[in-house]
This record gives sequence, C-alpha cells and structure tokens, in this order.
Amino acid sequence: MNAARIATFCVIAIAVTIGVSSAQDEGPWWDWSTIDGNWGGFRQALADRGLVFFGTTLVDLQGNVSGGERRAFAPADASLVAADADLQKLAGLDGLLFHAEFVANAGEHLSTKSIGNILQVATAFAQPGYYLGQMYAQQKLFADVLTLQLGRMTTANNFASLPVFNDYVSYAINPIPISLTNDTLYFSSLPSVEWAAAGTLASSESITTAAGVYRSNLSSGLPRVSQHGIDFSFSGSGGPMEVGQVSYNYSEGRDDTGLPGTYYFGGFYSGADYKTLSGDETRRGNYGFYFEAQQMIYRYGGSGSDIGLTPWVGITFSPQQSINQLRLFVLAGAVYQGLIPGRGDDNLALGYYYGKLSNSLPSGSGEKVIELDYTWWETPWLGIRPDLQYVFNPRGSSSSRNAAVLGAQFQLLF
Amino acid sequence: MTYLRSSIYSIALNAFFVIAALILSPYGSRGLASAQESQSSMPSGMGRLYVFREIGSFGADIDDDVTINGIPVQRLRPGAGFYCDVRPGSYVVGVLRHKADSLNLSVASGQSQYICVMLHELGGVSPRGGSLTSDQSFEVHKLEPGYGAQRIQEYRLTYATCRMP
Repeated sequence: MNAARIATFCVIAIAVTIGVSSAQDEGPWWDWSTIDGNWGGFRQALADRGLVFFGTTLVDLQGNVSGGERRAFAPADASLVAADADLQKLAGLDGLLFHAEFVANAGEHLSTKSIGNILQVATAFAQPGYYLGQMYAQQKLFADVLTLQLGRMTTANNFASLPVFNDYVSYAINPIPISLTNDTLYFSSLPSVEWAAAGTLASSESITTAAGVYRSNLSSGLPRVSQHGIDFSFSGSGGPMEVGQVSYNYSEGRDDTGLPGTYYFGGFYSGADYKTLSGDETRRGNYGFYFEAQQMIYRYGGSGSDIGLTPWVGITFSPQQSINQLRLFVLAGAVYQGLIPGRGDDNLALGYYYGKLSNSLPSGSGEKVIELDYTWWETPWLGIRPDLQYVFNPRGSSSSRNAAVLGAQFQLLF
Repeated sequence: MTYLRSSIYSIALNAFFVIAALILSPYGSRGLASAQESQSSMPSGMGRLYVFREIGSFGADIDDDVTINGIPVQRLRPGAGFYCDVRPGSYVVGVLRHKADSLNLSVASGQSQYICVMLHELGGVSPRGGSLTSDQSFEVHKLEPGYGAQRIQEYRLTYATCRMP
C-alpha cells in the first residue's frame, strides 16, 4: 500500500472521526455542505472574523471506448484550495478583500493519449504539478457598483464563462470556449495566471461592463512544473492583452417574472508575439471576438423556480488565420435542470461544439464534438456526472477515426 | 515515467476508494425520504415559513444567518433549511452579513410560505476558472406554494424558533 493510499484512508478516518463529534451540531455527515464540515465550529468562527476557506477536487475518469488512435483510459484530477481574507472584518477597510488559490493537477490527457483531437475532453486535465493560482486584492466601491481587482489572475475568472458551461465535462467549453485559450494563450484558465488588473461596472441590474489588462508572460501562460506559478516577473512576450465584455442579464431581478437569460459580448486584443501555424515566423498581435448567450425558455413551478430548460449558444472568431488554430468556434446546447422529479438541483446537459481549423493548417477542415452529461448531486458536497462525448474528425482530418468517450466526473467540495 | 504512471493510477484508485467509503459510511444513509425530518403540525392560528438553500458547485463555504424582521433565525448552508411558525402578519426575510435584497411577504393563519435562499449566480465559476470570493450577494425568492412544497422534500429541514420583536 503506497503513501498516497494511506493518506487517503487517513483523511477518511479523520473525517469520520470529526463526524462523530460534530454530527449532533451539523446533522449527518451526508448532509453537510462540505465534506469536512464546520471543523467543530472553528470554520464558522473564522469566517465570521473574516477568514474563509474553500476547496474543491474534480476527478475525470474517462475512457476512449472506440475509435480514435487507440482505446485507452485516462484519469485526471484538478484540485483547488482557496482562502479569503475579508479586510473589512479584519481591519475595518470597507469593501477590501484578499483572495488566494493553490492549485494541484495530476493525471493524463486522454485527448493526447489516444484520440489526437483538439477539443479536449477533460476539464480536469492540466499540466501535472502544483501551482500558486490566483492571488489578488479586490476592492468594491459605491455600494458594489464598481469592483476593482489587482494581482495574479486568470482571464476565465472574469470573462467568457457562461454559468451553464460549468455543467459540462469537456474542456472545449468549461470554463471558457477552448478556442480563446488555443488561439491567444493568454486568454487563460487555471493553473495559468498573469499579472492583471480588472474592473467590473454594474451600471444597472441588467447591464454589467468589464475590462481587464493581462500581462503576457509566456512562462505564466504555460506554467511549467518547475516554476509552480511563482514566476512573478513583469517581463512579457510582447505587449499585454486587453479584454472587454458587456453582459446583459435579462429578467434576473427578484421581482422579475420573466424567464432569466444571460448574454455576453466581448473582444480582446493581445500585443504578444505569436508563431505562425505554417512556419517559424513570428507575428506581433492577435485579436478576436466572442458572443455567448443562455436563455431559459421553459420554467416549471413559476417565478423563483430554477427548474426548466435553458438553451445556450456561443461563437468565437479570431480572424488571423496564420496564427489562430481555431479561427471559428461555434457551440450550442441546452441544460434541463430538475429533469427527475424530486431532484431539483441535478441537471441534464447536451452540447455540440464545432471548431473550424485555420486554412493555414494542412487538414483545414473542422472538428466536432457532441457531449451528453447528467449531474447528480448525491450530497451537498459530492457531485457525480456521467459523461458521454463523441468526437467527429479528430484534428479535422477525414482519415482520423471518430472517437467515443465514456466516463464520469466527480466533484468534491471541501 | 513509471513513478508518474503509478501516481496516475493511484489517483484513480483513491477516487474510487473515497466514493466507496462515503457510500458505505454509517453517515451515508441519505435518501429523499430520510432527508426530511418529521414535521410538527402547525399550531392553530399560526402560519409557517419554510426556508431552504439549493445545492451547487460553488459557494458551499459562503453561508449566513437568515433573518426574519432583522432577527437571526438559523445559519443556512447548501442542502439545508428550516421551518418556523409565525403569527399572521407581514415579515421581511433577509440575511445577516451579506448583501441581499430582502423579501417582503405576508403570512395568513394556516398558510405556508416557501422561500429559497441562494447565491446570486455569476459566470466564471468553475474549478478551472477560479473560485468565488466570499463577498457574494444573496437572493431571497418566494416560491409558488405547490412548487415550494415539492422542493422542501429534497432538503434536510429542522425546526427553528422565529422570535419576533
């Protein structure tokens, strides 16, 4: 029995032991909001004083059951531990908060290992290693109308991530359309972080405008294990990346009786250097646009209910074919929350993604994926998500074999 | 390389062990029927408030006391709720420490009102997108009676005492 397994059993034993002493206060372990509970009241006491801790582990267990390059199985794990210091409570500084994250990734990449496709099938996979993730100060001003953030951040935290995207296993859309990261690199998701400044203006209940400037440091954009996300240098691979987004929230106020919807329109310009797809030339600058929308069209239970059908669409467009692998990315799907009676927090999610490859690539065609997921919240801290993905034309090549991926995702909340 | 492969399979095996341990745990006997504690009947001449919070991927660490007419009643975490009996009249339901639009509602004798408390939903929340900061705002929604009566069956509700000034 190796050390990792012993450690796992120890964690379970400790959790069960804590459960015995705390069960009377918090109810059965199965009903706790996090797997580790309230730490015998200590966690709640810290939160009330301004120190909040949170963690999540995402495990993707997937197999390429037919097609692709070969049949294979790949596990991947992404863990996140976050801490907030609310300086309003700790030091009386109104609206100021400090947020820090630690990220650990392990496992294999099924898309690389056995499918050879671009629209990666596992959101839990990132380059194995442990990293210092986001670390920023946040100041809210004017009754929360304006939020300013400064520090080490990932772009996906503020831009291009529709709420429904988190209902899927595929990294093609969770947390953001993969084309944005593939094409620009600095339009990042964890564990990649950059020095950044971002501001969000909630000018009305419906309209929010966000803008951000992100440094384009290559070793932060592609964090190598040896650097563990602590390359804090300001040197960049060219100029910074600027991102802007306008959000429109339809009928999401408490007194609104219409069906809720969220609409994003955004764009970016990166001043970094990019290698061309066809040769060794380097070009400075890249830009693109995106539009995303989710709109509930059927609701069961009347105003205030979350149960119902929410279709969504998205498109990203990065015009420069010589440097952008996925010039055009089109995605669409629908999420039905509460499909099974008595399980209102679960949802069924269907998605379709089409990535048009640049004409500068030999294949020049496109890759398509259909995904079907069901999220089952077994407890408030354990989500189980069976997942089916079918990949058409991996890497856009007509000679590639379509691949069927079967698996499940587990999310544990700490 | 051998070590890497061994570590990878160890992760997968550990994940299965964790899930199996949870399911077999003596604390793991959760079902829809057992989620609901037996509820006392509503006293004559009173009304009842049911308050619960939904389950989601993020925000489990962010909780707050639900207040009725400004008085804290019970801390509310995802997957939990409470009910309390109140005299007929008008009430304001909110949370104690976080920003929230308080809900005004009235309760008649023998009437049950159903209230869902949840975090205001935002984009960018996923394990690869980063976690929520703890200064989120809450939403307090009144539900239609039939729908509310169905939803509370899914959560562990406890009886609370609503002390009115």
